[in-house]
Amino acid sequence: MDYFAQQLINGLVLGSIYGLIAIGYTMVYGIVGMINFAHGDIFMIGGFIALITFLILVSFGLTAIPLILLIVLLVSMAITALYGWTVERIAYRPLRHSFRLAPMLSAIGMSFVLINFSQVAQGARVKPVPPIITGGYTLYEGAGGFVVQLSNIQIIVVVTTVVLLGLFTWLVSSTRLGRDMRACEQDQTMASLLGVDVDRTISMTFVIGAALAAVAGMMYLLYYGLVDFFMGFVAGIKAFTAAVLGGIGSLPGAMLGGLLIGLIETMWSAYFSVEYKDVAAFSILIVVLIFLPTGLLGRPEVEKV
Amino acid sequence: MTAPSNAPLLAIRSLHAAYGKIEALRGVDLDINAGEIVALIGANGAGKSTLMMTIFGRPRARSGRIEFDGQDISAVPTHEIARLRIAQSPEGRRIFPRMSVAENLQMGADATSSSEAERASGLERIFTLFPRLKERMSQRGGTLSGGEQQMLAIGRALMSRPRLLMLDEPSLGLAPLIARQIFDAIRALNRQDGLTVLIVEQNANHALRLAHRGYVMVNGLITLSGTGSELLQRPEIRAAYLEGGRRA
Repeated sequence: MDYFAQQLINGLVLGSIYGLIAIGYTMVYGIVGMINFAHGDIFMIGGFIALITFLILVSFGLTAIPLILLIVLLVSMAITALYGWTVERIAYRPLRHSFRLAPMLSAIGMSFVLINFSQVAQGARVKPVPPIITGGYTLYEGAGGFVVQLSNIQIIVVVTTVVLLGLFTWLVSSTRLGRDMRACEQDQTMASLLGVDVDRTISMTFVIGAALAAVAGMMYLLYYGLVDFFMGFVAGIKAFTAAVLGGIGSLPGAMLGGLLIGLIETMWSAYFSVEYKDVAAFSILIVVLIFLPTGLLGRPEVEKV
Repeated sequence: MTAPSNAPLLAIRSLHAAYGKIEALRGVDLDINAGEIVALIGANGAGKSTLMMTIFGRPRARSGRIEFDGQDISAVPTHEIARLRIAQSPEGRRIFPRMSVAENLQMGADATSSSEAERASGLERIFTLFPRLKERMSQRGGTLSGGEQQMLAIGRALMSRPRLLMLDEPSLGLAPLIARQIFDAIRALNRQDGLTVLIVEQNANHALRLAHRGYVMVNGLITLSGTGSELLQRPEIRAAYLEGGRRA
């Protein structure tokens, strides 16, 4: 039971990171109907920018950890958002009225570009950072001597995710930009007849998705203490799986899917085998797609018009 | 704004538009004066809806001019045309199905910058015309009946405080009683609020009775124009659009 509780905590933390990335996939799919295969690499870029910003701040002699974290968060969100904007602008927008597969192929190309760019610019080796946030709480000491722990970094990951999700939900449901995004998702022509600048709204979608991925990248860096140029690939596919599992196009679905994938992966590693954790996550996806093709919270395509 | 008061609010001159190689508009001339209701009638595929959409730049005019209030808008981006306060209730109504009625109306208000007071009075006007929308405010657009969706499409257009309201087949598929309610609302908006209206209709009888002037469109060209009652008397109109039954 204690072991299970510990795995539950670990799974939820990992799931939070997947969920933040998954939102970017599902938002872009909702609004332009394409899978942005470069999104996982945007997450990787976010991790690198967080690392670079962190090192710069430390080299300036800054020592206040909360201040450093805040600056790193904001800087990596801003610069990664710029990457997201640029990718859309140069690789997707020119192809928007082309055949359906064109932007998707372009996205795969963009993914290679970002991976190779990072490898050339930052080197192929894994970049470790010393633990920045240490300590934690012992929640419970079991009879068998097993200790259930909640580390400070885990708290930070979950709290940051919850706060960002709250902000993001508010943005989508209650602001003009959020309304415009939903309008573009439902009927781009009608949105433009009502004065919505569709191009700008789509750009903003990529910007927001990239900013959330940057947060995930920073959390990953803090949690695992390393980044490398290839980390976006597997994390991206996992997050994409999470988005499909939750129902692609559904924002709560992306978060739920992220948490589930995080939990499945962690539990499988804990009780069965670490080597097969990816198999477990993807198998669940296959099963869900067979029985619930629109995902857990996805809406069926039929809509009364 | 600089146009003399006797110039038409909307002046369309030898307008051409096409979908790919298919020519949909082949030199259309049409005027709408401020305060008028103008009806555009014609068979399916004549280019009526295309004309409305071309005014919004979808598709773009191949050649010709579209002047709104003296300004050529044929190259203005679609989303900026809405901000000139031209509004449309398009073919198929195009309600946002997964937004509430309130949000759909807010989308209309967002199209132009309006103050809180203007928004409130706009809402009030819409609720007077279509009381049913008031009861449905929190309901999703996609769950409304056809008539309610049409009311919402018109309401959404009205929320942008339009100077020109364009309605594409507002009575299509509606029960006669509901259609009458829609036509009454359009008449009230014109007579009481001085709203300028362009209405495309398959129901030529209703439309021409409602309109001050009408145009008949055939194969992308205007073939006839005149006052509503003049057109109603023309034998070729009666044969093609009235007595021959409605073309579905």
